[in-house]
Amino acid sequence: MFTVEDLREIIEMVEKSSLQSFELEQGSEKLRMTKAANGSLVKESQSFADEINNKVEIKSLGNKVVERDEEGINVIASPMVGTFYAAAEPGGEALVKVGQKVTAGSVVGIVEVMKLFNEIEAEIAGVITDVLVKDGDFVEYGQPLFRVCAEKS
Amino acid sequence: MQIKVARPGLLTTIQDLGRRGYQKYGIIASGAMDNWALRIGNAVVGNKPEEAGLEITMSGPVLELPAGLFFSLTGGDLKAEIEGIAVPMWRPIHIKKKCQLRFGRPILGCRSYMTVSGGFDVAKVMGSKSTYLRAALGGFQGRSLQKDDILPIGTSLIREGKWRERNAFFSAPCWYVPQYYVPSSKETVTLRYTVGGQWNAFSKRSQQDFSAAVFSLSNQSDRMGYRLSGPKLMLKDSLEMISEAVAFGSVQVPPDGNPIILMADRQTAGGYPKIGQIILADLPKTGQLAPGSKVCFSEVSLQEAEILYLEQEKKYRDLLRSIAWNLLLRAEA
Amino acid sequence: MVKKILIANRGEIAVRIIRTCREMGIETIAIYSLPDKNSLHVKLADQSCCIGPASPKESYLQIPAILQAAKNMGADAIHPGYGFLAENADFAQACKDEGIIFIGPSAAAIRKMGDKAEAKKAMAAAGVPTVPGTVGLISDVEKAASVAAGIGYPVIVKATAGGGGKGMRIAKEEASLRQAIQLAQKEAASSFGNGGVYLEKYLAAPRHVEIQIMADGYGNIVHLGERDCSVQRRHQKLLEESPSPGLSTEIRKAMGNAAVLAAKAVEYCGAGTVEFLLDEDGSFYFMEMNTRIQVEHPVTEMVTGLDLVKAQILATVGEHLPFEQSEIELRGCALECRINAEDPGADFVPSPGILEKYQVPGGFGVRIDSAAFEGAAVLPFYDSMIAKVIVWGATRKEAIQRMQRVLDEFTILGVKTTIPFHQQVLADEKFCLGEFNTSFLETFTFSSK
Repeated sequence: MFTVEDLREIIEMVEKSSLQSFELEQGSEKLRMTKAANGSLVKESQSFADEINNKVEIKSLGNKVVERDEEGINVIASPMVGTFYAAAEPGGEALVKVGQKVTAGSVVGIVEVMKLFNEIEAEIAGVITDVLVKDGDFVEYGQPLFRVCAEKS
Repeated sequence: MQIKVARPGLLTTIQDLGRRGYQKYGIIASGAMDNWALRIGNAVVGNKPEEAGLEITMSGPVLELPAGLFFSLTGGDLKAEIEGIAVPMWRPIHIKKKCQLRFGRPILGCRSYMTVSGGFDVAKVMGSKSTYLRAALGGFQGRSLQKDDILPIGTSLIREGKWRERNAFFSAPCWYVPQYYVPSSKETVTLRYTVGGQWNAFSKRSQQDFSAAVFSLSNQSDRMGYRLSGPKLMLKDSLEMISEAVAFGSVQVPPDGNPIILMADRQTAGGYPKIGQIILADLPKTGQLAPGSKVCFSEVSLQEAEILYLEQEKKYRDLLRSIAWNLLLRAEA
Repeated sequence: MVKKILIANRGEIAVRIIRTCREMGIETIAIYSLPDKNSLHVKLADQSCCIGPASPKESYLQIPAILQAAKNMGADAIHPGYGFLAENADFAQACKDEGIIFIGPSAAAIRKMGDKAEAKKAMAAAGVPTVPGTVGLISDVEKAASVAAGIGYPVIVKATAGGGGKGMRIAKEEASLRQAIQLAQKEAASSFGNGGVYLEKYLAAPRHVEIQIMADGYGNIVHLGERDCSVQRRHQKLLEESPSPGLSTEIRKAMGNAAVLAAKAVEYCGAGTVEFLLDEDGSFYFMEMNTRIQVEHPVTEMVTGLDLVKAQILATVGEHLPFEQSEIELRGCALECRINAEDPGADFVPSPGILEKYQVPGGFGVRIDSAAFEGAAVLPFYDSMIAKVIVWGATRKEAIQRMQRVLDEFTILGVKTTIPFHQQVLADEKFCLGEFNTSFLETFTFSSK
């Protein structure tokens, strides 16, 4: 997921380069940037808002989709490297099951990284259709964890 | 920055890791009943481990939190909520808008710790901010909190990183320190011990009872000690004993045969025979017991006790490092 | 002997390390950010793990993610390469705490050499010649002024936590000293979070000559000759060579011994480089020590015939150095050009993009260290290096001619490269005569025709 810091960094780097347009697909998210017609380099960096308005046109496309599906199936991918746990406590009940309804803020799993636990949020409202990992699996960044059938809005 | 006390709760006191170096003068050590919870609570808000926090007992206070505050709740789960929304524990929380923090019924354990980034700005007495109620020493004016008390807070040591905006009142990160020891009131808690200084003075029957029976905490259980009820523990013969040092977790048995687990506000020396010593690694768990809790005891060797303690402290250092990475990285806003 | 190494890096150095590991029979784990998914280093490694998005802070610098991947995938050791976490003492310590070997020196050695003022003190104490200046940080401007008067102007104020040319200010006379100190402190505080500065004699146009050393955990320290890296643009090296045209046998010996003393002073282990400033009169001064394998290490490999990454791995996992000082011999001359995706005609502005055509040269005495391939992307998030071109020749003249031939053959289309720049430097008369120092590029004009 692109944050303000990510965007600022990316804009600065594209700005400093000779690129006229730049497109980046990161997992399920797409970012497209094109420089204004004069393509001139900014010597002094203005405020972030100015950069967006004057120099660069940003289109942030899509949501957490890894496989796009006509039926609107989305995938929740792991935002970090570590050990996946299906339940909040060892031996506890799984946080989500197939067929369960989730909202954007629902915690669907835990990933442990160097002794700290990280809550994985669904970030999308819908119904869990597949659980792709087991309790205790080692997961990579971007690894698909669950498939969700998005709520039709 | 300050926190205003709207309602004081049952027993809310300022505690740090205790008053050290003065027991030889008869000054009680005091300090947090669950020092693991306090140390972790301090770590997640960027404080030093010995910084003072609020020890919240059973029925919690109602506190007015200022915008900009960084705090954390660790230890027992007393169902904390802000304006009706559950407050996640064992991680830092950033208050966005002035609001009230309230507590409900205890779900797990019975003492919750509230640490604030920058610590509570109260005077140290004999090197510590801990409250010793009986002598009205330290903490906030030597007493537990009362309505309308204003608690001054030091400058925050952390900044928000990539945290989730939970709602209008607070944001918090997705990471937290997993808790592993806080017991629920339903289970019988096993406390490991090494044999006490006067173990051999007890009858064989009593030694067996101590390690096999289930005891429960009577209503006369507080920060000074937990009085247990269960089988009475008897000595082989009467014992003439000179008072000697006691420690946090020492289990002493007065003439009536009902053992007492000595806790944070214990006296400095005791003349009752000690049947066992709760190991350091189990003290945090012990600090979360409340009247009515059921306990049983399990003997371990001194060597095992040391190994368990070292494991716990290694875990603590590993967590400290992981927390520092998350706070440090996130702090480069 | 270790069985599995995780390479905490990307690009050409990750490929370099993986290649040596394969030859040593060591399994390799590559980590990569999402956009690096199809990189060469990922393809060559036995296992791989995606550790984060494009931003280095969220990927190649994410210590918890890297350590967790190493633990879960069974790595015995982590090789940090250069840049990223290579000189992060906390990372080195964390590896040790987790029972993973860090292919590099101890956290203490990294810390000591990372603090420029502390390093200088340690070097002076060890008998390594240092640039005359203040002992430790400047706390009192008056004291600094008297030190400056003693060593003679011009002087340079430098940041202790610094590098890459930041946090530095030259003062030509006493009148401008105060301001120079203030400005340097301010820039140091904002660039490195540490405003500490110290003061040194300013050498106007020295040569930058560095000595490669290798040390094992048994106290054996060997020096492997020098590299002349004077061709620098804004303190970034562009071209390196060994031996240095400015060194006599005596100076080489003296510098080598000084470098070994430096490494000894911090109980060094692994590969390291001691950088010196060589003045026109032949005197040399310690500048800093780089506690990692360096970008330009192939230059030394070509003239010594030794695999430095292999030696580094052996040394840090507890083996003895595979060679002794008496065995080290410098043969011929090696030259390295760093080919970056930058436009030399537009102030070296980064020129990321896709390598539409990438045709690599070859032949006798030619080595190309790169992770690039046709169709690969040069990403704007990381350094702009496409390839290192290293040539060996029996003489310096032969090496220069060979480099010209190679650069002529090297075809890269789709991005702007610094090849034309290197070609012009190699054709420069002063350069060919070996008469150059760190001010060379200041007066060199690139013709973008």
